[in-house]
Parts: sequence; structure tokens; C-alpha cells
Amino acid sequence: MNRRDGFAGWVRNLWDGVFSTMVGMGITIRYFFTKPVTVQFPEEKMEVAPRYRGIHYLEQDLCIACRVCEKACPIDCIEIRFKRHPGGVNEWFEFSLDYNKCMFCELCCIPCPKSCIHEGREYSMVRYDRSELVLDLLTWKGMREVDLRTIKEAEEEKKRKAAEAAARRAAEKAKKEAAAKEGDPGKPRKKETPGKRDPEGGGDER
Amino acid sequence: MISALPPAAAIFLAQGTGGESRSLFRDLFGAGSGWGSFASAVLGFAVVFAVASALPVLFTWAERRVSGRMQQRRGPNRVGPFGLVQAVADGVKLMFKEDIIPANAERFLFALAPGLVLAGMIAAFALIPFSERAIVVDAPLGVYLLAALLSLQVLGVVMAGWASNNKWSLLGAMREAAQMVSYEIPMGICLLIGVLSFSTLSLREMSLAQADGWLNVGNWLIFRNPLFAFPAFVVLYVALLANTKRAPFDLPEAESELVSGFHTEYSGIRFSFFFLEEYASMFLVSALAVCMFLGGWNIPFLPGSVVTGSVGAEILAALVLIVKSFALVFVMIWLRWTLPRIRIDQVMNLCYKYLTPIAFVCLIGTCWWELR
Ligand code: SF4
Ligand code: SF4
Repeated sequence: MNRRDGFAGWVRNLWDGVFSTMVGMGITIRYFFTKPVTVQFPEEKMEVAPRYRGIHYLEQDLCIACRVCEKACPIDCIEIRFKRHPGGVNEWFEFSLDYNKCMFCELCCIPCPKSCIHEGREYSMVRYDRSELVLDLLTWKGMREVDLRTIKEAEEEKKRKAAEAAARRAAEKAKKEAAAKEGDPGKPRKKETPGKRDPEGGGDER
Repeated sequence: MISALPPAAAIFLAQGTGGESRSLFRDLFGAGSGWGSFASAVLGFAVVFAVASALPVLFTWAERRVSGRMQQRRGPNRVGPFGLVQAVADGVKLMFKEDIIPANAERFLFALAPGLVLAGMIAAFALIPFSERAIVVDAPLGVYLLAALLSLQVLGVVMAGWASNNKWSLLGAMREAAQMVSYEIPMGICLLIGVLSFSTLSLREMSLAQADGWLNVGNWLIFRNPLFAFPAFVVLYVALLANTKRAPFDLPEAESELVSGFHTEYSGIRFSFFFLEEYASMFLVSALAVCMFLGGWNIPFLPGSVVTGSVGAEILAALVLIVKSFALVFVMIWLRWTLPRIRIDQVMNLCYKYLTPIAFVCLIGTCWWELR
């Protein structure tokens, strides 16, 4: 900028000072009347990106407890404890995720055969202690009414199948015996079979 | 404890120079009698102290809210409605902080400095005429005394800087001294313009002289003598801004250069004295400018005769003065969050090359205007 000498320069400096202050004050007062952009965090939350990788959630009904996620996790955050019951029912004890370690890489979610573990949009995870950061993703534990029914049905099915198989085997055995003793058919066999079959048959029909 | 003594001493001093003046408290206790005068001094001190310590609470809140809004934030909004009680919470916190005196500090001066700074400010409050009678002490030499009390701060600040035995404190104090001594020149000249126009040194009489006129604002000094009093008012405002150590003149406590300037070593309640002083003196200097240039307690567009005499009128007048001063305080806050801090050479430049000559021109112009 050119030098500002003499009285004219003095006046120009003065004018510049006053004018630029006015302009600055105009800017600040304009912002004074705009709405604050603050998001009051615990009460309001900012919308996260659609593919944000936050705290996991598990669709437990779909999960088949195949442990693929557990194996896929590069830092072994996931711990699964369950007991397999007949009928493909799992009694759940634990499906915990250690957020002290988790880096939200999503590697556990990709290989899941049922696509039932996801990374959610929840990100706030303030706790007083590290141990509280191990979250259990299970929505219910143990077994439910439906599962108990399924197990019962499965057991009955199993029993029935076993019985059927036994009956089939018995029939085959009888056929073989019959084939062996061709000369004398009927009498001893007919006496035996109804006595053996009756209780089983009753069970089947029930 | 030593910090509490100077305010009391200062208020008695102010009371003493009052001479035969009238005031609300003197009226209450009966002028003339020794005990009445003593009681009015004590009561006056109590009221002034209450006002002087309540204002910073409001102003720190206002400052933080306003600065927040100017930066599109919200400012404090957690403690109490709109965060109004935030300053009280801060005050309580400060009170419970450890009061540290550095090992190599000059203990006596270190303890005295905050009290001295606060004392000057509180004593100056006693001189502000809130309405025709709501004034603790109406000194005939009011303006003179006020200027003297305002410059008492610099003594306290230099004392604090020196006694802290800290380079940042000392640098801050030296800057404060340089700045204050310089800015007292334009400030004094501008005050002189007011004195010249009203031929009195009493702030109460100045305010009285500005009553009535066109739309009841015609007699305000900036309208009565617009050609010279208005620039003088602006110069006075800038000089007072420098006097209160407010941005852009906050060199004595420039955070980015001097840690915290002259109060680097202060903590707890002693620090809060400096803090209190800064915010209370914002109101104080605004009230001074209002009394001299903006018509004091006179209500615009309302003839003075309507509002004199009754207690309600006195309260209304006091509120008007407070609102006018708040407006000036708002401008101070507004300026602080607009302008960056200027360099020390720019501070001196502004004072000696711009404000002082303008003030002189205004003074001479006012002389001509009044003689015309
Ligand atoms: S997101 Fe990554 S680190 Fe976290 S549990 Fe899944 S695989 Fe492990
Ligand atoms: S990979 Fe999927 S289905 Fe398998 S245990 Fe994990 S969440 Fe369940």
C-alpha cells in the first residue's frame, strides 16, 4: 500500500479505522441475530451418515450361532456362549462385544451367513469403568416359550422317528425270519407282534 | 482481610469530599448530625457494594451469551434459566480455590493490590447519580474525583505486577501503566468538554442540566453540540475502553502473549477482585459517559417535569440510566468480539496521533460553541 503522509494520510487512516471497525461490527451483529448452530449434545444428537459404523446390534432371532463373526474379528472382541438344543434351538448365555477393543471395522458383519449382526448408528458410549464397555448384544437370554415348544416338538419328532425306525427294523427282521422259516409261517409271529406294537402305535396316534 | 479495608476507606473519603451535598441517604438519616452522616455512609457503602458486585454477575453472563451468539454458539445455558446463575457458580468456585501467594512475592503489596483496584472502583460507584436523589455522595468535584478514582486502578495494577515477581505480570503492569497514563490525556480533555459545557464538576448537576429540550433529548450534550460533542463522546468512549483494559485494548492481560498479564499469579478470591473490577468498571465508565453526554437519567421523549419528585419516578430514572449504560456496555462487548487486540505501538499511535488531537480540536470547538 502506498505511504500515507501528511494530513490527508492522517484523515485517510482515521477514516479507514472507523470504517473498517464499522464493517466488522456489522458482521458480528449480523451473526448475533442468526441462530446458533450448537447441537445440545445429550439432548439432541446430530444425524450420522447413512453408512455410519456405530455400536453393533444383533438380530438374535436370525442368528444361528455359527461363530463366524467371532472368528472373523481381528482383535477377538466378540465372545459367544450358547448351548445347542434339539431342533436347532440355541440357549443363549452370552454374545458380548468388548468396546474397549473394537475398532468398528465391520469385519464381523460382512461374513455373517444370516446378515444378522450390524453396526448401528448409535455412537455415544460414555461409561464410568472399562468393564462397563463390554456390552451384551443379546436381546434375550436363555430360551423362550417358542424355543421350549420347538425343543419339545423336536424331541417328540426324534422319538417318533426312532420308533418308526425301530418298527421298520422289526418288520424287516420279521420278514427275514419269515423267509428263513418258510415251512411254518404265521402263528408265533402273529402272537408276538400285536403285543409289541400296541403301546407304540398308541403313542404314535396321540 | 486487608483487601476489605480500602473499599471502606475509599467510601469514607468520597463521603468526606461530599461536603454539603444532598443525597438520598443523607435525606434518610438527616444531614448535619455526625451519626446520621456516618450511618448514611455505611448504608451508602452497602448499597454501592451490592450494586458493584451484582453487576459483574450480570455482565459476565451477558458477555458470554453475547459472544456466544456472535460466534453462533449459545453460551452458558446450563446453570439456572438461560444460564443466568453461571456467574454465581463461578464466583463460588473462585472462593473455594486455593489462595496462592508466590514464594518470592512481595506479600504485603501482593495482598493490597486487588483491594486497591476494587476500592477505587467501588468508591467511584458512589459518585454516579442514578437519579436526582439516588446518589450516595454528590460531590461538587464529582468528575474530578471520578477521574482520580479511575486512575487509582493503575496503581493497583502496577502494584500487582510488581509484587508478583513474575515477568509476565511485570510486563502486563508496565503496559497498563503506559496505556493508562496515555489514555488519561484524551479522556481528561473529553471530560473537560462536559465540564465546560455545563460549567459544573458535579455529575448530578450535569444530568439536571440535560433535562428537557427538544423531545427531551435536545439538551443531551451530544445533541446540543453535535459538531464537537459527538466526536468527543466517541473519543471518550475509546479512551474509557482503554481505561477498563477491555479488548481491543486488553494488552495488560494479553492472554496469548503474557499468560494472563498482571494477574497471572493471582488465584481464588484475589483474582476475582480483578475480575469484579473489570466488569464493574465497564458499567462505571459507561455510566460516566451517559451522565455527561447522553443525558444521564433523563428519559427521552418524556418531559422531565412528568417524572420528578415521587419515589417511582426516582426508580424509573435510575432504570433509565442503567438501561443507557447497559447499551454502552453492550457496545463494549460487541467491540471486544469484533476487533482483534492491537499492538502496543498501535495503542500509543491511536492515543497520541489520533485521539488526543481530535479531543483538543473538540475542546477548542466547544469553547467557540459555548461562547457563540
Ligand atoms: S467391528 Fe471389527 S473389531 Fe469390532 S467386533 Fe467387528 S470385527 Fe471386531
Ligand atoms: S456370524 Fe452371524 S449368524 Fe454367525 S454367530 Fe455371528 S451373528 Fe450369529
